[in-house]
Amino acid sequence: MFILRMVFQKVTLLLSNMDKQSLQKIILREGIVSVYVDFKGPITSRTLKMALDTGATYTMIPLEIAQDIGYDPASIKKRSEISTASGLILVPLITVSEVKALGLGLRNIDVICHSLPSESPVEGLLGLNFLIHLPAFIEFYQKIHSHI
Amino acid sequence: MKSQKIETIRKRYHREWLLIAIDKMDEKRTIPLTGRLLAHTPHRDEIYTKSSRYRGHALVVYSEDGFPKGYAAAF
Repeated sequence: MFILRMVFQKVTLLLSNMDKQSLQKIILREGIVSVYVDFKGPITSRTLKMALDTGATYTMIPLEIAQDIGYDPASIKKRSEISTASGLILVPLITVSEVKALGLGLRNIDVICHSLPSESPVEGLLGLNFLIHLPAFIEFYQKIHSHI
Repeated sequence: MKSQKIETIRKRYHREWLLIAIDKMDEKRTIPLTGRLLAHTPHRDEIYTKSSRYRGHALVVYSEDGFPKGYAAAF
């Protein structure tokens, strides 16, 4: 995720399907869709505000939070290459005992350990490896699939 | 310290990181409802240091939901 300095103070999306009456104007006031996500590890649990990210393969949390709940990312040999604003980097990929969000709880979910830029109001990304289990996301994907 | 609604605690601070001990969760929606403020600071690294010393179930959260004016996210 990149944090951009915008020229305009509001981001406006126009969704048009060629019908003037069906034009919908969406003002992204907060600039992000965030949800609470609960991570349970061998020592304790942490709840974080995370961005819903349909463009992220994996869920991502800060390294410090992974350590708090009982993992040692530095000793994890499993790594994943991710693209950041400063180029490609290798980051630890841990398996978290339990991840809960939006009323859904999943066990043994792979999670990338990496921090978002400090300007971000959220601490991580809820990625596709969690979202694909959500009934609401499955419905969303089926509806857009015919346009892909 | 008295347990308070999470959103009440968040509204009290402006652009700060908060560490809150969670007392009550809405398990069906995965939303923390009430808790006790353990620490607050404008610096994210400081809240991580405080968090590393607390072994209970806690919420680490920014007081605002959105970006500062003029900022946006891109993936």
